[in-house]
Amino acid sequence: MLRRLVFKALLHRKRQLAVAAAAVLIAATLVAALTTLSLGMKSQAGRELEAYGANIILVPAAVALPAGMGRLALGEIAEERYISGPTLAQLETYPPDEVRGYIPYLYALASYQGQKVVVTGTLFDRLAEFAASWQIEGQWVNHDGDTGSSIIGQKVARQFDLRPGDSFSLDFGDRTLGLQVAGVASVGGSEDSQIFIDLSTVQGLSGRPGQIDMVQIRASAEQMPLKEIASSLENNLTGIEARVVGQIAGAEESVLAKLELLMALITAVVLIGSGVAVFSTLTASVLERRREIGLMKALGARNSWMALVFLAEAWSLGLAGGLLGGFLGLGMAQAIAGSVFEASLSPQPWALAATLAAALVVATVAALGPVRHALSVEPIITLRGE
Amino acid sequence: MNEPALVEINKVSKYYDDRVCALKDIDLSLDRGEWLSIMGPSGSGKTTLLNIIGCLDKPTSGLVRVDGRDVTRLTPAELTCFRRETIGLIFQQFHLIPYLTLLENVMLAQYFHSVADEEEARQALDRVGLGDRLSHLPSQLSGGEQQRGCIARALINQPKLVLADEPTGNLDQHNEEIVMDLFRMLHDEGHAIIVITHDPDIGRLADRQVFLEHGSIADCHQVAPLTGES
Repeated sequence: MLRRLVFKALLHRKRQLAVAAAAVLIAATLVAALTTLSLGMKSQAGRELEAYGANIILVPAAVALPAGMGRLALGEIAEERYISGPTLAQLETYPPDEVRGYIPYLYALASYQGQKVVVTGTLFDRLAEFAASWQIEGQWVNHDGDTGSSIIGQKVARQFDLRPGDSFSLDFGDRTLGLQVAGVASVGGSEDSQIFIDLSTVQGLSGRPGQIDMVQIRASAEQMPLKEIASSLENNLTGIEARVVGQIAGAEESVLAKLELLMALITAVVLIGSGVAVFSTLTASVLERRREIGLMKALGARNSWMALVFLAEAWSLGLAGGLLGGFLGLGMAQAIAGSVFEASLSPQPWALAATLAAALVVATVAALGPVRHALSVEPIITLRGE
Repeated sequence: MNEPALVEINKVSKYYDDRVCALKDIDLSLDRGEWLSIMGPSGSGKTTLLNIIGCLDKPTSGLVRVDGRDVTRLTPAELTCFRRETIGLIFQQFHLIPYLTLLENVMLAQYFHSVADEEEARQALDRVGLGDRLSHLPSQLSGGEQQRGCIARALINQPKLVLADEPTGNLDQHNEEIVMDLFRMLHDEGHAIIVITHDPDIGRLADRQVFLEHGSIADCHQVAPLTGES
């Protein structure tokens, strides 16, 4: 009987309720869209920021020993350190949502035309990913083990008048390595003065097999702050020191935090707005139906039953608006993601559930005032004909 | 041995805002199965008295006992419970819920009381001659049909006391006769009835008439049996 009464009451007042339902629908659409976008954009923003390079750097932990005689301090003696291959292998055990990727570097000095140049050994198949912001004239070296190709910094290229496709030779002591310029990199940093070649080649020519001077890590700040990830790396990997690259990391965390705050504020405003609409509609409903409420009380309806009638109406609004709005919001999020980020967001079932829950909570809270008003109606007004 | 009265009212007064006197020192009783008409000019306190007997309002002072219970001491929730168990209400304005069918309006009163029973509700409406109007909305019914629906709703839970406030006030002569025939039938079945009316002809159908003036009982007398000329 309750279901029948609520259903028919909703149908009877469908025009008035349509306003409240539309408010819930719009709110639910925005909540679903914003929550889906919030998470999606967070990941997307993380990926976009990855273009600016690594956000954590691993270097060998230097063990410094104090040197001196008696009261004469002669400073510290630091042992030459390096990151070993097994340490690097440990990085592979980190979950991808914490450590998205890494790239090792080994630095060596070589000579070209009698002048010293810095040669950096690295993994070419990862360099393109980590150096997405570099301007390359020519082309990338696309695979590891290409021992005959190089990427040279623009200063080196200018100094030695090298262009993509040119061949040149580097002297490593008494050994010579012939190379071809695949691309010239313009970075705006120290990389402009370096020559990038295959990692194992540098390890072999510099007599440091299996050794790494530095590892750049691209970590995700979504699950935990970068400082915590760096701390975890220091604790779990032997002989390394992890440093958060302050500028990039700070910018990333700040952007994501502001993004989340903005989304939360918009969501709150929209939910409050829809709550006000539901409140005013249900209040109008109670005022219009005072005689009906009085009649039902005169006929013996309990207060709990009367409360249930109006709450059920509110829940119907919340359910219908929340469900429909949830699906519309997911669609809207996809459309925005496609047009703004040129990316597709994966569907988030929890966003739909959260939207539905939010719509029901808002409808329930908004109904409390009107329900209290309905309970205060005296049955006597029915006989008075008020 | 005499059965105790169904309604006992002793020294009941009702004041609004401590100034306006609606009822003053009313003493009245109603036996089980008795039909009482309450008459009087507008503002004489008829509806106030009916509201107090129907547990819709409380007196400022005095005792009201219905079916052996002092209803002036009941909480609002207890009054609601007592009302649905004991009293059937019939209104001048019918007060059927506009978006429910006639059958659903009757079933709603059943639902408040215990459990909605569609078959029983059909029989109640059939009894008042509305067996072919079950699925009609109130707006699709004449005034007389709506009032008969209201009577079916009032009787569906077998109340001990039926209270009617101007039940024929909005009806034409033909429908008025149909409704009063129903009241006669209820009376014959042993229901106690209190009817407020301005119509002397309807007032004469009762066992007893009470006349109110300025909140006090001006006259109360048994009605002489009809001779067949009415």
